Amino acid sequence: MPFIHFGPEETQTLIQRVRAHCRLRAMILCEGDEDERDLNALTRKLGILIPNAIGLTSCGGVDQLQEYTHCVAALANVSRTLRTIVLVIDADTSTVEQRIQSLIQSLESHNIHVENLELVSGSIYKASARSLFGNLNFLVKIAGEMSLPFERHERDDYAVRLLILNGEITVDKLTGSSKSSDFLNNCNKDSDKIIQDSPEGNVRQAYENLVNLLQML
Amino acid sequence: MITGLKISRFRGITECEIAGFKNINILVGRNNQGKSSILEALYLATAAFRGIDPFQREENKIVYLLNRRSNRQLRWETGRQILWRGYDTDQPIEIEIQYGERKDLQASRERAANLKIEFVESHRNPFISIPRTSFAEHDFEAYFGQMRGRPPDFVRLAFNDSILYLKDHATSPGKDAIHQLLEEAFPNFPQIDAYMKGMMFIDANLMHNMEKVEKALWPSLLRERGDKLVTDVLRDGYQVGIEDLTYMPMGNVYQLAAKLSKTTVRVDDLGDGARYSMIWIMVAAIARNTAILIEEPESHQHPGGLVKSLEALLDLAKRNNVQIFATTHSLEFIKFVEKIAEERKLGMSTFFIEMDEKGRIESRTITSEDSQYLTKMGLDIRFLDVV
Repeated sequence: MPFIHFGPEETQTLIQRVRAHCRLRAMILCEGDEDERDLNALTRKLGILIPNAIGLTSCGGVDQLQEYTHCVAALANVSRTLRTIVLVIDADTSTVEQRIQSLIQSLESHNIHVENLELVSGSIYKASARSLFGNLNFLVKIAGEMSLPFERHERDDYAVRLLILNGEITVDKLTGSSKSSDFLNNCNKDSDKIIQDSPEGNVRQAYENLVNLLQML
Repeated sequence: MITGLKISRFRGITECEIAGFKNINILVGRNNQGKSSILEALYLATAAFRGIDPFQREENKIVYLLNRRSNRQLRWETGRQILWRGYDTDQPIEIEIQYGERKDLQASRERAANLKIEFVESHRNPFISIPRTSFAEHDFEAYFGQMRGRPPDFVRLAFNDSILYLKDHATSPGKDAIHQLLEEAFPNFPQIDAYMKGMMFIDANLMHNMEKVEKALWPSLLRERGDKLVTDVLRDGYQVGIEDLTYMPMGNVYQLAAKLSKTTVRVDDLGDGARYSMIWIMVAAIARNTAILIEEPESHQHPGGLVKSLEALLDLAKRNNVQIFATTHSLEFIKFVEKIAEERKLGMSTFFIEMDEKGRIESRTITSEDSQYLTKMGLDIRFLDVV
């Protein structure tokens, strides 16, 4: 079952959702359409079964943390049945620890008091918070492959790592690009296409943390 | 203005409690979730203050509520039970209204009045139910004498009929005395009284009853020259080349008509959208310090007309201190109101209304900011039941 996409022009999905009248168990927030495409490509490639009540939407912006915080606050204020919010956030120029701390501070500034923060796997954190209608669980994935020589780290790092695992490029080719998405653009490659065309074992290895995250849902 | 509402045993509603009303309040949700019933409950509560429907759609407000949804010519004697949840009239319908100005509420909680309205099967008008503790002992004794045993906790007051009820004991001390008692119980009673008496309920039925609308509103509208505003909205919002409104003879009656550049047409012949918005503008132009209840204002509306009408409505709401309660299924309507209310610095809340199988209503308040981010995520606030 694919994710239930939420977006401004998702009329088809809206109709399906209305017919199914489903109540979402979890909502994944990622930065943009490309993140959504990658998550879908991963589930297809690796045959990950997604329960039918998982929503997927993008909410990134100029200040990613602020945008995520506003979206989480809005969900926390109105959601009654949603139990888990999943955030996939680029590490950018921070370390994983710095990024998660910044996120928590940002949430706290919006009166979302995060409790029980724990690192569960790689760069995946688990936490909880009280909402108006009960408890909300958070799963936060800080995206980026810190071993790659980019100034800014993001989800596309995994696609670059996959190209390296496939033997299509070597690390020394990465110099000159400040971030992986620039590198992929220069090579005219799309991350979802890379996932689709790569051997399953390499995909599983390169996207290990994201795969773990999806399997936690 | 009303800041909160509690309803018990009315229509499909077993229980409903909503807090946080502001100047503009929009109720959104799926069909059969109780949105219209909430508006009706407010209107029913006003019958404790004034029983006559201002448009005279029926002999009184209660009978109008009996027939509003399907015109089966029901009368109090034959159909009153349909107003009770599950047609079970054993317990009274109760509507509790928290009334208070927001600025007052912030300064002092005591200035908010909790007004409890009860509607029992044995009486045609709702009662105002007042805690016994609200009265000074000497006043109470003056009206009811020394009570044997423990006195009841509430006094029921049929304001319309000038009757005080206390358990099985009834007395009719006269309007002045009752007014005095009410003012003692509620320091801001004159404001509450004016607010409740002035409240109007606008639904699509009115579009087909323009004669009643004209009769109820036109003289006051003309006196205050609100007709100019109606003309402007019709011209700018609905592309009607209207120059003025007038009364023209048709057969042996006079009808409200729009003067165009080369002819004059009856208002009845304008499109449904233009007529509906014309009604709310007319009502808002003459209303003062009260509330307007509007069912699905977006009905039959083109977005161009809707924006112009909403601008006029919210300008009038601000100028005349009028609170708006509206139900809607239109996301476009909500977005327009959010924007216009923000520009006019009017407080606005949207409530997602959901009813469970036992008739309990749960509401979720959606602020403008939350609405903006929910929309950004692709979550249509009319479908908040999915989360």
